[in-house]
Amino acid sequence: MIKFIAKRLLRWLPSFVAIILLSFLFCLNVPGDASLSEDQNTGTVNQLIVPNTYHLPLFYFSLKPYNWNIFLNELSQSHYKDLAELLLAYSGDIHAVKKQIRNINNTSIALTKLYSEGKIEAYTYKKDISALSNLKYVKSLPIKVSGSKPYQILLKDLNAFEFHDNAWKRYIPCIYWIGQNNIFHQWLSSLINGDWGQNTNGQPVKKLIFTAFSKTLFLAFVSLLLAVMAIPISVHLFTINSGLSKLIIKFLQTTISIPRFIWALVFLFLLANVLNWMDPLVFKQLDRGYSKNYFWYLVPAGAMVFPFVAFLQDQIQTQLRVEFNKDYVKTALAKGMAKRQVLYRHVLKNSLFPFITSITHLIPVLLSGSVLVERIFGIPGLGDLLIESLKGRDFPVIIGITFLLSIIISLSYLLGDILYQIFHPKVKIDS
Amino acid sequence: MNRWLKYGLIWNISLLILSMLWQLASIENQIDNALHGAYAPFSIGDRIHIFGTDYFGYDLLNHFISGFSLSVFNALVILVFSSIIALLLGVLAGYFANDGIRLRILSLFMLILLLVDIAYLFFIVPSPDILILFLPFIIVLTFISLDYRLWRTKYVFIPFDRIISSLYEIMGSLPKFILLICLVLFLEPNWLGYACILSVLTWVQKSRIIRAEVIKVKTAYYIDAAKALGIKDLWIIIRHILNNIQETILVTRIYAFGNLFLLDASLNFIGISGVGSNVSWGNILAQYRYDLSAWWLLLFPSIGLTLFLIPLFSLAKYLENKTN
Repeated sequence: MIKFIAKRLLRWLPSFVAIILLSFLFCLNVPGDASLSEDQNTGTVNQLIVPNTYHLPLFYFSLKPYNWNIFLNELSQSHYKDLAELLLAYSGDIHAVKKQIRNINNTSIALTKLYSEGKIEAYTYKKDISALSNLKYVKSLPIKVSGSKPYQILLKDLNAFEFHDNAWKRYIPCIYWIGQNNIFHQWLSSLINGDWGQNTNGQPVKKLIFTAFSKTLFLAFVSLLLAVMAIPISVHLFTINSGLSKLIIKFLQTTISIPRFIWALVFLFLLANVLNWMDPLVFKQLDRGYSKNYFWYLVPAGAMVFPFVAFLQDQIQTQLRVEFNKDYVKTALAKGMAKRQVLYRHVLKNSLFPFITSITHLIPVLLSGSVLVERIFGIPGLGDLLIESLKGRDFPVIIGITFLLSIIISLSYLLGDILYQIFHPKVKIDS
Repeated sequence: MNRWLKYGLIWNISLLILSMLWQLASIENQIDNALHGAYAPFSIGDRIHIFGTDYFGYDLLNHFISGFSLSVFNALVILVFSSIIALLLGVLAGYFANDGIRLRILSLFMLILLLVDIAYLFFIVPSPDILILFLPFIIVLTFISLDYRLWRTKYVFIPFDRIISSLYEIMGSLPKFILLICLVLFLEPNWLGYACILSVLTWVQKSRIIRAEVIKVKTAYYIDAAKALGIKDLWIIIRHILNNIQETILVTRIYAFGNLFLLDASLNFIGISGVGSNVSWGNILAQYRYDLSAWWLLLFPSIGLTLFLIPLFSLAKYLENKTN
């Protein structure tokens, strides 16, 4: 048993890593420019996405040319970084490259100063700046920069840069260990320490997500209770075998393929519009404390589990029918036991175990299904928050929700498999 | 076959043909100015609207039929893509198992080296010199000439089953719906990309079933006989194995089609659509959420969905019972 659990955990690990890496990739590739700006002032907007460490390397190790130097990561501006990398590739002398980068920086500062004083024109300024930081011009050094006399001295320094023919070193790949000072490490540690950043309105993401998550969890709990209650009811339906029970079974069988968001909409329509019992905003009022009638949670929970109950009922009916054709049931009936007695004393034990484990498969369905149902009923839960932030393009919240739900859902799959193995030790899950 | 199932299938097919004709006629849905800015049930503005209009004054019948054909088209394309992935991997894992395909060690080395070469070419891409481009090939040539005869005679088996099974497990424990929303949002794909994302996330269950079926069929004597006769693997797979599991494939395909149609509708309900146009049943249902008294916005798409899905799933169940 322990061996199986260990094996299953080991197999779960890749998907866990995949989830973490995927959400990290989402963080890096957020559409729009706010996240990618190197400005410290806008850094607070997307703390979870870029924790002010954009100039650091991505991961714990990186594949770089043989003559690469870790100094390149200390350059905070990315276009200088590329330039320095190329200069280093062609010269090989790290000190010279450092000096050259400093010179280029000084020259551009001097240029900017001249431009602000009005001594050079805008056209020349733009041309010179692009010449200084453009990769195309690097190979054709000494740099031919036009312009006025005051920075000719600086240009002399720039042109003093010497090229050694070390180009062959560029073609030898080498793995460099960077250590903890990288974006991924900082991102992960801030995630684990609970510093999930702020959303676009300046509210802390973690608090937003966990207040919403408590509501989703409550809804999932109520739905789970309803689903568990469905098992004895469908067993009871099997024993009654009257016209009404047949009608109910027929109804459930035909409605098995109707999705839960249609049920939710229909329930809402019936209760809020036709019968006028339910206030459409009742869940918002519950959230704000104007109302204390928590029984309304039964309505969305009912919509959530309805297709599952129909499915479960169908499965239980077939399973019981198969079990009732077996010999030991015939013996028991021949001895004079009532059908109901046989069912509760013998048959249930043999046929109900699969359904205990199938309940655990409901957890992921409930969590991801709540996205639609919460939206429809206006429950301020995780699904509602997700769609609201989708509409507002509130990426830190979206990434936080994705991360949390992914971890929980994949854990519940794991739990389901382990429970299945405990209840059915004979069945070997193929390894 | 049940009488009701027949009626349902006739309804489905006629709806499909109607929507196709509708697309061919390419009737444009224009705003009815008389009804703009108000929800209206069966109404006569500038034109007659049998199903009523939505808030902007668009005809709902037009939305209903063109949305249906778009969703069906989407679901079909995704179905084809995911079926191709599922079939390929399922047959690889099921038929070749862990000892089906053997490779010479030399070929394996060549393969790995080729991959390394391609990665290396990407590595030097910023400023490639022409001569350097030939370096990987030179390395490979030296490897070949090192000890050719020894490697030629030794073989390794490729454990397809083990690789693909662990792929199933990794893909199976990812939360599909949430990931799908995020991927569509972040990658901002066009229509084809949308179809690709959906099919990559939904092939796993089908592939598992195909693998199990292939393993079941593989043990039959006629497969052994065919192998003994020297028939090639590819021909055995096409002629014998796929022929024998086609009924199961058909059943799973019908279920998958219904589920994909549903998935498309629920994604459209949230406001994510692959086609770029916002005409679909899910979109009409989302509009209903803004005004609960506009009952016709709920009634027609939900009845449409129900009447489309129930015969479809019943047909799948009927075929399933027939094959077993």
